[in-house]
Amino acid sequence: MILPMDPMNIIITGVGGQGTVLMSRLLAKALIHNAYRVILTDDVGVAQRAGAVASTLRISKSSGKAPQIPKGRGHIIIGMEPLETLRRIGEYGNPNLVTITNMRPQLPAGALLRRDTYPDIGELKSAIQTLSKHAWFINATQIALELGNPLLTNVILTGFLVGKNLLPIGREDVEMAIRSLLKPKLVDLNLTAFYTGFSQVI
Amino acid sequence: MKKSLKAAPGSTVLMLGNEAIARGALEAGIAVCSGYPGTPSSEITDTLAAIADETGIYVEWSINEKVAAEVAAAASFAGLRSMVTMKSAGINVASDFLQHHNLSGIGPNGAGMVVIVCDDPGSFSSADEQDTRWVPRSADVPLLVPTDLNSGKELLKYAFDLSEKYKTFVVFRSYTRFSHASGDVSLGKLPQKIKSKSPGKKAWFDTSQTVTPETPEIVRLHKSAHERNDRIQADFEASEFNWYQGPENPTTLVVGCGGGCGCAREAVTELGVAETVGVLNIATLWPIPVACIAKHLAGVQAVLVLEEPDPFLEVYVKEIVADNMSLAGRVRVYGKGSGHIAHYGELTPAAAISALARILDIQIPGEDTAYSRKAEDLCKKMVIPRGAIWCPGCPHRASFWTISRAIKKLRKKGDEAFATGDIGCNTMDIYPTGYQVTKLIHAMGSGFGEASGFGILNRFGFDQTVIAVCGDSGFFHSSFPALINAIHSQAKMLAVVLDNNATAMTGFQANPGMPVNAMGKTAPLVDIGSVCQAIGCKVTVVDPFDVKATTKKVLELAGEDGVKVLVMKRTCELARMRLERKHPCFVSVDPTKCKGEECGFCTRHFACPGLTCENETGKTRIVPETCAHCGVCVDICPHGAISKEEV
Repeated sequence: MILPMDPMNIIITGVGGQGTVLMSRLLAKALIHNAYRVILTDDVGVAQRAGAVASTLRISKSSGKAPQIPKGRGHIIIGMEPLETLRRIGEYGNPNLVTITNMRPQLPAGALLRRDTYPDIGELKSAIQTLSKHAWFINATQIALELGNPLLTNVILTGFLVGKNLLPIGREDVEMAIRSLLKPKLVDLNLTAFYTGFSQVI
Repeated sequence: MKKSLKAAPGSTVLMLGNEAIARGALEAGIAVCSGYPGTPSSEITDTLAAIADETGIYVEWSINEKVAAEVAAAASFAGLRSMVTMKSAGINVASDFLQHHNLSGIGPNGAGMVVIVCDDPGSFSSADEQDTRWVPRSADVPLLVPTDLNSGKELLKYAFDLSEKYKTFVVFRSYTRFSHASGDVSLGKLPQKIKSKSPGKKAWFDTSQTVTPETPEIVRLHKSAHERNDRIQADFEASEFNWYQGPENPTTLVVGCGGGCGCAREAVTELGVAETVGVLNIATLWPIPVACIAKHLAGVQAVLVLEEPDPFLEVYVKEIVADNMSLAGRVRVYGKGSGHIAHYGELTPAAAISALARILDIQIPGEDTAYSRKAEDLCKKMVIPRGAIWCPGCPHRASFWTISRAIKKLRKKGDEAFATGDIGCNTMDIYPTGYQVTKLIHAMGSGFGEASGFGILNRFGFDQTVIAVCGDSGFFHSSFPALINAIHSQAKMLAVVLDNNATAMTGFQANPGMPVNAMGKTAPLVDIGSVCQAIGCKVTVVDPFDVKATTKKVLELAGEDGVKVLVMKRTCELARMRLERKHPCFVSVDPTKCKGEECGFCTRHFACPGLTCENETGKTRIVPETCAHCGVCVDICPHGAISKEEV
């Protein structure tokens, strides 16, 4: 498979605890296996405590890229939460942007406490659509809950992304990454989640 | 990391920057690694601790950075390669030792010692934006700054060789975008066996001379440190870690250090100016390779220096220009001094692109202003902040709730009571979902020191109640000396130790209050209560989940004279969940008893993200994705509407 642009800039965003770091690692591992150079950044530390987090992933055939993606230079944003997709569009968006968004809102503390208002979900969706060349929406958390654990959301989204054929990696590469990065007893459940996400692509 | 230990040299694996540092240290043959946890440095020592058994190295989380540096130095004095890790703020603690070790050197028998300090430009997880590059500069010791993961790993190995060659510790200064970046890293060879440089290859300290700067010859030692630097500088002038990429005769030069180098290359590519603009990367930063930089400045009209956060290299580039007759007045130096790059915050590719475009007077290509405006408008309209909070089930929420209730009662009586805090999870009291009772937060342990100081001010009319707060790791780090101080100065002080049995914020590292060490082995536990009792404090231990009893105790102790220690003991929820993997009980809300929004006590005041007010009914409901079912809200509800069932 060919790399459509070099470097290719991916942003994986969500709420601390949703597993953006694992998703970035699964993709990076699969890409390295295919001899791509990757550089990732993750938000860790204080932001992990239910804060807005993002992992960035830059894929290239050569080395020497800055870890950070320049403003307005995102190619794909994967949002594990719709508000977070829009937040990162503000930072990395451009007319050619592709977005994949899990449609389960997770209210920030300010909204739970009624100090801020979470936007209307319909308006949020239409804003993401307006600002994306292609925007896909998936109820990954719902699927994860049906599989028995909301924490599978990230792996379901990984399946959907790979199923969309947007990256120069195949399902077998990610399957290898899942087997290699996760504890043996968690592998089967995560493979199920991955293929469930993969099969959401019609 | 465990898997990569077995991987063949030359194979490529995905590694975090901090794992690459750990791997580099292993390839360099270290025997001892010590450190104190702090973002973004913690994973270095964590990684080595996890593989201590397989590799035979010794790894410890020391009680603070100064002790950690001394532990590493001891190994080096005894002929074993060693490393100490810390975050930016930690070097202030370690400096007292390091600023003496710089002149004594590593001793006649010393093996390589490297001090790893990780700065946090942009302050992603810090209480400062300190640029620690000035510390090795003022200590007259060599400073190396890594550029990317692969060359960074090699640079660290070089640091150990350099340390041995010149008999001084070397500072390896990392930063968030190195330590917390991940990428493909090519593995080198691991040593077969840990070897001491001492005769007989065992750890041994040569007593034939005293290793100390405390001699009448201190000025001579200082002089020899400078002579040593002259020799190191000569090495650095020819170092392959400094490199130039670009045209043979550039008109503009971008000099990068650390993250600045990637930003420099990004700017040159993005602006399409590779034919006229060159990039010079400097990784051996102190002593400055003056001749190397001067050589690349010849023929250039403008130079942009990219580094973060302070203008360190920039100042020396200016000095080089000023000292050089053929450059002075001809080469213009841009950067922080000229206002092209900010003195604060993270250096980003966007900032580098915009600075270079301004210097070259060219447009930034590919900007769709209509799109940007639309995105900006929609974000402004809809995006609301999402800050960090105490996790659902966090004992600190309950602890600070009791402190806030007590303070509220004291304030009703006209006592403007307040808390003094510490660095770590307890800092979150000042965030929107905390209770904002903490009015002073500075360094590790400062809450105790400040309270000790307030505790003697009654002679000047001070009559406010001060409640000092620290965590369990913070207690050992530097709160304990302040407590001794309070005893001896006969201060009136209530000290609260939030003992959650974990150094939680940085990733659950061991501390002396736990019966386990960094390497996962059983270790003697130092009981906080007993230690405090031994120095003469009145000690009480409570469970903060018992909200009513704890609040009562805070109030009772606040009124007493002397130094009182209240240990609020309850394991960190994340640590507990990792072990037990199930909720302690099941919490539910009875909507017939809930007064909803008009009361709002649990949602607006207690502010746990596990509870929210239902839009349709106006009543509180449990948020199933977030609720940890800790059951604290059962005692908070004034109407008895929340109940729990044991599971």
